[in-house]
Amino acid sequence: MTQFQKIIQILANDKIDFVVIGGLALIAQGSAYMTSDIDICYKRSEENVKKIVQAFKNYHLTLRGAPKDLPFIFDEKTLKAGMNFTFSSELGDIDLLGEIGGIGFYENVLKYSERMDLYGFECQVLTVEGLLKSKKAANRRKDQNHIAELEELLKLKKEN
Amino acid sequence: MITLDEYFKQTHNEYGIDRTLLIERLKLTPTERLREHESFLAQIEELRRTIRRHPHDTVPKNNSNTGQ
Repeated sequence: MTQFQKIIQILANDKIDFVVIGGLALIAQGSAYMTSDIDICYKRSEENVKKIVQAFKNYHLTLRGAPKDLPFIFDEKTLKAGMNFTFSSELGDIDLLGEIGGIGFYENVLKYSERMDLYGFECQVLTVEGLLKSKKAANRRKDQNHIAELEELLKLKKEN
Repeated sequence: MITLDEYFKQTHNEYGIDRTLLIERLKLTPTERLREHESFLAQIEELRRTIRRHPHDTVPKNNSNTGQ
């Protein structure tokens, strides 16, 4: 099982610029959805990418589902050469996204985020509005159920 | 007194989303929501382990305790 708390702790303690997005953000916002991985939008500055590599280098990140003989090195050069990564690791499944459909890069994602206490760590989490924007942009079959729930959540939050 | 059908309409939106479930979730802190989610995942994992350990076990046909 993905160690959500441990991953959040690493990201927060190492002062990595990140926003919690995807399923975990949905749950933190009150959704009844379930997820087995953690999705993070990260800032693609050289300093931040360096911090990410340092923070996770001992957890054996590999490309999820890739052939075992596919050469892969988790380092700054690789992260800078790509954008969105889906990893398996000793901590569980971690998705690192440099860009989210419908919102854009970290700097814009940050505008659609709010500060939340997760496991005792202050984190930026995608807002219900931000989640709606990204889900509407993706508009896969599974997103349509999330959109219906997020719209109800938005209504309930406005009522309170 | 309302009917079950009316109750369902009151508690669910037009897409079938259960508002009562969301209202209960919103009473929790974000961390409590995440912990509840982890607890569900752990239970699912335990169920999977049990099924792997006893792959050929089935519920007896005459078992009336099906919860239905």
